[in-house]
Amino acid sequence: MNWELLIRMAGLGLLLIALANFIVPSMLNYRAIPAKVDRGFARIFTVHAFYIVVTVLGMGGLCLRAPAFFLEDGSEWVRAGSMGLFSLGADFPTIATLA
Amino acid sequence: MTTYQVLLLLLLLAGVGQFVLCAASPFIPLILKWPAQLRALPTLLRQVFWTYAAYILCTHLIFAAISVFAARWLLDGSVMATIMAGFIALWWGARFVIHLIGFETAEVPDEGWHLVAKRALGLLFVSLATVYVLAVCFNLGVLP
Repeated sequence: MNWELLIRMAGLGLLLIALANFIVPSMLNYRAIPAKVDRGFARIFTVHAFYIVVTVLGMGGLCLRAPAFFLEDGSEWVRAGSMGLFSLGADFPTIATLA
Repeated sequence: MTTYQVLLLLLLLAGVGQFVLCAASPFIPLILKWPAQLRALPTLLRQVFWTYAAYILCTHLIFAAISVFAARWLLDGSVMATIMAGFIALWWGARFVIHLIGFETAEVPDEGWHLVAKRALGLLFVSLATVYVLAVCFNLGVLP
């Protein structure tokens, strides 16, 4: 099994998820949020979303550019497993919305 | 002490600082009254918000764990260690900038322990960013 190819495909998937995060706000009507909550709270929401997108982009970039990082050194299962769990949870709202 | 030993110590302290931040994080929703704010939003948005907050918290825990238990790896000069230290540096650097200009901290009183907490958080963010920038510089061979 070509693990490097699979990891690169996962990276591509992560980049698509990150891209989807720019579509989800319009689907969930994020623009209406500031009218319903304090401005400070709305900014916290935006900042959290920004950090999640950046992290997903970073993971996607890592998978595409350096798949060997997850296939060497004996700790590859920890790295890959950690990213897998993160992706499943953090990307679930995006996937659920688009589904 | 050598530069390496100083950086190891700084990374350990940075890790402890991040663990302390994680321990204090569950109180932030109560202090900033997030549950009351979230009641005005649809259920899915409430779930999205809590999911994002949980993952931010977990990311901070991972940063803390790496800094405390794998500080030597962060300073081993490898490409991945440099990238990880750089990512963490950017994370906290951006957080510091947001703390200064991006959040409506005026909604939190500028008195008593609120003021102390605001100042302490700002100091923590800039300190963390500085430590990881130094780690990046060390990995790149810039530091003596």
